Amino acid sequence: MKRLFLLAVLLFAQSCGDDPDNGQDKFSTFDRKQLLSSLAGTVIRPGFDSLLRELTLMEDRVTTLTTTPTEAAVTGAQEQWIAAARAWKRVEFFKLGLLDESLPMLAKVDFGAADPAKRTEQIDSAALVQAITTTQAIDAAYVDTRPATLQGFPVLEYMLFHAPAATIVSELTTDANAEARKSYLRSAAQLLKQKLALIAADWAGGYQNTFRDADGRDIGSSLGMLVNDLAFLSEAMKNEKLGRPLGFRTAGVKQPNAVEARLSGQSLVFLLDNLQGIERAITGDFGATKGVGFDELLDHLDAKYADLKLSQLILQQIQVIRQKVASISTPLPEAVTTNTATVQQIYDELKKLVVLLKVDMTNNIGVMITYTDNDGD
Amino acid sequence: MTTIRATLMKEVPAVSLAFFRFVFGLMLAGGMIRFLLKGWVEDLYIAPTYYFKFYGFEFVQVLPPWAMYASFIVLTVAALMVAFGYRYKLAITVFFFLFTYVEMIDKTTYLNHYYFVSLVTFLMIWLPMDARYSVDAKRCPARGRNTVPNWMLLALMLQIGFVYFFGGIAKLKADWLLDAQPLRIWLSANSSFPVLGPLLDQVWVAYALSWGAMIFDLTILFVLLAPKLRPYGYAVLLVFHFFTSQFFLIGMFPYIMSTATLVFFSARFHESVMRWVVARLAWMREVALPRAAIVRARRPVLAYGLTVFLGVQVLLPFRHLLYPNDVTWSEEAFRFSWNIMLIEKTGHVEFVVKNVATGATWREYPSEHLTRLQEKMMSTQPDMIVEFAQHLKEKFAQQGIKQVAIYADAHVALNGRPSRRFIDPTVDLTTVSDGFAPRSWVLPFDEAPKSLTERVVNL
Repeated sequence: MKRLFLLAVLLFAQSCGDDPDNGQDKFSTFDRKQLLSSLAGTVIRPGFDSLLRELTLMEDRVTTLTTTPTEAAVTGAQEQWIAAARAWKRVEFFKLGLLDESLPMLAKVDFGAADPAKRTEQIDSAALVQAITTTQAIDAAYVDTRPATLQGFPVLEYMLFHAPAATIVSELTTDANAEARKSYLRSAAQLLKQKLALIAADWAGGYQNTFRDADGRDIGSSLGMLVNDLAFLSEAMKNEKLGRPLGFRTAGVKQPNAVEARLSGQSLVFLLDNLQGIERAITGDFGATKGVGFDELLDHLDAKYADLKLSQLILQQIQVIRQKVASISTPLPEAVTTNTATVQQIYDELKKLVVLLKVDMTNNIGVMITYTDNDGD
Repeated sequence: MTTIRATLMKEVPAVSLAFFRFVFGLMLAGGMIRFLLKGWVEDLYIAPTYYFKFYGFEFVQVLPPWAMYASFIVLTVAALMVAFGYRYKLAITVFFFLFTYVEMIDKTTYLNHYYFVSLVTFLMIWLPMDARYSVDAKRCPARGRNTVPNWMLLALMLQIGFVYFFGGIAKLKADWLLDAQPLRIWLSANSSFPVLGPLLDQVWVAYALSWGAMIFDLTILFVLLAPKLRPYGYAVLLVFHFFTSQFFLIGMFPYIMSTATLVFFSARFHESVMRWVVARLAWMREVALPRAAIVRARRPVLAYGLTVFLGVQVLLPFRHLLYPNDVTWSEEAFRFSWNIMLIEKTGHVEFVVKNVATGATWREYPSEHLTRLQEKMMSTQPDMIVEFAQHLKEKFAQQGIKQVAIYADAHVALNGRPSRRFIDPTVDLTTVSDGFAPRSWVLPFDEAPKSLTERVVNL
């Protein structure tokens, strides 16, 4: 029995020895710690750092707006909200560390990221009015105690975009609640920046090491969480950001207004930013800075799709989706009714990306997404 | 013929059965406590709003949360009663029925080793496992027996050996032997394992371990039955289970099997272990060794019954030969066949729903209705996909949408192959039913996995 075993070992050691594809060198240069620390250093931390810079600028613009409320100041704050939110959309899927789903932080930054089904819910203006008519001092600490729907990116979008600039100005100047509203707006911007400062500091501190060292492939490992997050975001993009307005969640009745970022009109822009975030995780690159990404891991595992490398196919598919999105010239709520076929096509292409990420990538990496024991069936 | 009969009818020490009862009972109790502590009662039997039924057992229903918790407490107590031999027959019968009931609630949770537990505990109902070193035998010495017919012990050994032997037969697949899959995927993801890590990244290691595991599984039953080879075989077995416990998240299985296989050792060994145990548990100590001369009627009915029981188990793993599709793809006859750790299968499924009356079309996402585990399991198992489509149909009927057609948009990747469409997207799943007939709505998997013979012929 033992001899047979040895024989099998020897036979295969020999027969594969001269196969260049299976040699040791290709594999020995690769390790998962390197992938994780490269992702942290090249993609994740720069992503959160740039988000923090945008949020700092946004706080300035919001302060300018609340000090001297003019239409120009409204536009300035709006532009900076878009810049910051776009930076957020590029890092949205890194639901790790302080942004772990089990912690309240994620929902307070963007409740739609924590629960995609709520993503397209509109801010309840009555609840906001209630929140600002208070005897308590309105500061960052106060905003922090409000419901998640009255915090973070969504509430700022509402306060800056829900009406024409002139109306926003009058809300901040002549309205009965003007002072309280200004305080709430300023505090919400300040609180959001504080939260992202905490997250950036956490990554810069111990968390990047924790992240690097959790290099297993079970559900709690960094790799397991990243793969899960990639699948989760791509599915949320498909099901919620496109499927819901297309009426897929409402028995076929279209819901043109159930889009993400309806007030700021950035639905498709954010979709592309999400896509860029996914692309960065796959390539491991951040602009011109090159790093190790999932593509290297997949190539290392020899993940193929017919004659193509799986990594290439994923990147190609991202390009296909980009081109399809670019072919839409109207805002998404309009496109859903006037250009349904194209939106449906984007949905279908996104579904292919979901399959590549959730099915093919997971299968090739063998990430053990298990919730109980398993014996492989 | 006479020697076989003599071997089967030979009286052997009853202590071996008592030993098995003791260690297996403790393992079961440990398993039940672990299940409770991990919060799985909540996750698996309280959180879901829908449960996938086994064919023919659609009537099995989940109990209210308090009763599910109570069931696991009863199972723990019953397992301990089995271990110590207190009201043994009652305890093992309760354990078998309650455990098997719990496993039949939801197809999602099917595991080969739970199936194994059901089989062994069923067998244990019929064997005089409490003949020695039990509270029962102490309280009522007339129940004690010093020896039992050898066929009883052999039946138990075969039951344990089947897991390995048919597990080995199941490994005679092209993917496993010719491509070293899925071990290749799993091992290369373990490259940071201490000391052995770099080795696990090498392809030849995946092949060596695939073939080694197959040979081990096919031979270990016979090795353990041969007294001279037994210590070596058991050492290999320990190494085998140690590594599987390290690489795979397979819970109690390696420990259960490592202890269960101790039953192959000599009665002298079992006797010394049990003496050591009762030296510490005075209340189990036997008053006097039961007389050897208690001869009961030979029980031909039981012997024939057990033969049928084991014989059926020999046939079940070959059911898949009756189906045209590959068992790892379409999963006809996949369960109850010892297909252990054979597939790395990942899937995505969403449902396209069409209101036949209005023509409106929309999508249903499983995550809305199922737990993550259920969704994951369903996405690769055709029978669950069909069952879920029919469940959706009922849901819509309750909402007043009487006529719907439901199609699956499903993609699956198997053992590192590119994903491909899994379910025929033109088949309205509300019109099919899953029984024993071949699953025509599963798309064929033309490229592979081909059968082993086909691959070898084409080499």
